Amino acid sequence: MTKICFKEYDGTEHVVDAKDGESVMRVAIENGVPGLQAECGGNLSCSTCHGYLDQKFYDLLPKPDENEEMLLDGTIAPEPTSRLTCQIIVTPELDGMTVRWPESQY
Amino acid sequence: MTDRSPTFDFDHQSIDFKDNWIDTARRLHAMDYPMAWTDAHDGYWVLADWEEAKRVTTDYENFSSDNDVHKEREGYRGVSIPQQTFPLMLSESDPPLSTARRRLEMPFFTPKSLRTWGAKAEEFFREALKNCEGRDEVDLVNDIVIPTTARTTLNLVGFEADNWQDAAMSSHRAIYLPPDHPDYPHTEIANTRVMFSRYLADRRANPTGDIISALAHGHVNGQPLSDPEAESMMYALVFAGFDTTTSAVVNALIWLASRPGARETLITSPQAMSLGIEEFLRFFPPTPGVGRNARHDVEIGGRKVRAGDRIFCWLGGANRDPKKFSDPDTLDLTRANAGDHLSFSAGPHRCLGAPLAKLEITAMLGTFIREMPDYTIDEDRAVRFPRTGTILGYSSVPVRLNAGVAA
Repeated sequence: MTKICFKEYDGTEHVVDAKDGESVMRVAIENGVPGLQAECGGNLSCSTCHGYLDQKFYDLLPKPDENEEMLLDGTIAPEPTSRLTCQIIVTPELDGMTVRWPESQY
Repeated sequence: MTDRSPTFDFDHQSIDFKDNWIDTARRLHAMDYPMAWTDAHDGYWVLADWEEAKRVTTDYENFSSDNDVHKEREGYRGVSIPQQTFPLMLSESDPPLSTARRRLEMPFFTPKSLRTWGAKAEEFFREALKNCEGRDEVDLVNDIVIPTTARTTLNLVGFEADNWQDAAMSSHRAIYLPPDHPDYPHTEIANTRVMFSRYLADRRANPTGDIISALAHGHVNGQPLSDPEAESMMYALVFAGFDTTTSAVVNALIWLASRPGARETLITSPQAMSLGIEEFLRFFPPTPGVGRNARHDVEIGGRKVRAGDRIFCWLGGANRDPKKFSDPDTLDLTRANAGDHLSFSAGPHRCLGAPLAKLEITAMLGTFIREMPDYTIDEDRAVRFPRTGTILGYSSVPVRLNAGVAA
């Protein structure tokens, strides 16, 4: 199993088993992890599953597409390693990845 | 008549649907699979299985939204049943075209852009409440909620705040009156259209950074957005923005009027309010459903759908799918999965304004139940829309804001 760590803004960590092929957003929701809204259910139309990655994992992943970039611009506090977690699909290479949530999705 | 089976007596535009839709949902879910054919409006499938309703609205490669009124493409009949003669250029088109159109509006609905709008909605709401001061009884719909939702939507789109009555009234009355009714807002609709093209022309010359400017200067696939495209998109933003949100707030406030305990639950924390609002949306879906057109012969739950058949994804019916929501006919403000409702639809056409709607609903419900703890609603005199095939709405709801104090 691929392990992913979700880190709330206050530092609380949730390490969960992630099924390969699922989106990281879906993994967080299904494990009841707080810190995201995932308003649109993964349809790339709301930007409320915004998280920050470590540079290493950010570089491992394919670059966000044009639509995701536009939505990332509309998040409250984007950083260089910001991603919409609904667009990241779990693979074994992501084992050990940490996703930090922003202070607020809205 | 049809050889599609099984059949089911269903017409979301009927009076019977308005009065009995909850029972109808229960009967459809009692079938071996909650999907059946109805002969109404030249025939369509009605689908209330949560999982599949979500998939069909999302899977545009197999189920089209295209409204090909002039039969220039595959002849699909759009997302409204009955078919609209005036296609909505964004919601009645498919990716990648619809995505290119939607992209012009999307930046205005991101968390960053919407940050100011919850406060704005609350300000408009307080102004509406202030205008009601000194009156014993007011109309929840027309005096309080519509002025708030109309002004919020129109301001976000880019209209001046004082210019909202015609657009609000044309949207509102056109939804619940048939075009041959003496009060049908023909004049207001004509005025609104003139206003749309005037604004568009103005923003071409003087862009201001609002949605109208984005449409006026927008490009789709390298071509400038045409006037009919831009006007249709403005029209959709305006129409989608008032009565939907109004319906959610009014239904919630009517339900809460006789339940002070539930009001207490909602205001215990922002999380409780947010979850409660999801449950109101599940329970009182502002729009009953959306249509799709099958591109190929396909089987859903054993039903044989033919290419070209319309499927009415009954969002309100899917919200009461007992496989997804336990005890679905009970409104439970603490239901953990309430947020999985389909009231905003799903997929590439999922309601663009959903986050704005939630901000508005939060601002209105929160303010109202905190500051008007003694309100009473005369439900016997509340007037529902004669049909609820488009919006689960009320045209008038008498409310006394300080009944307890005055008594």
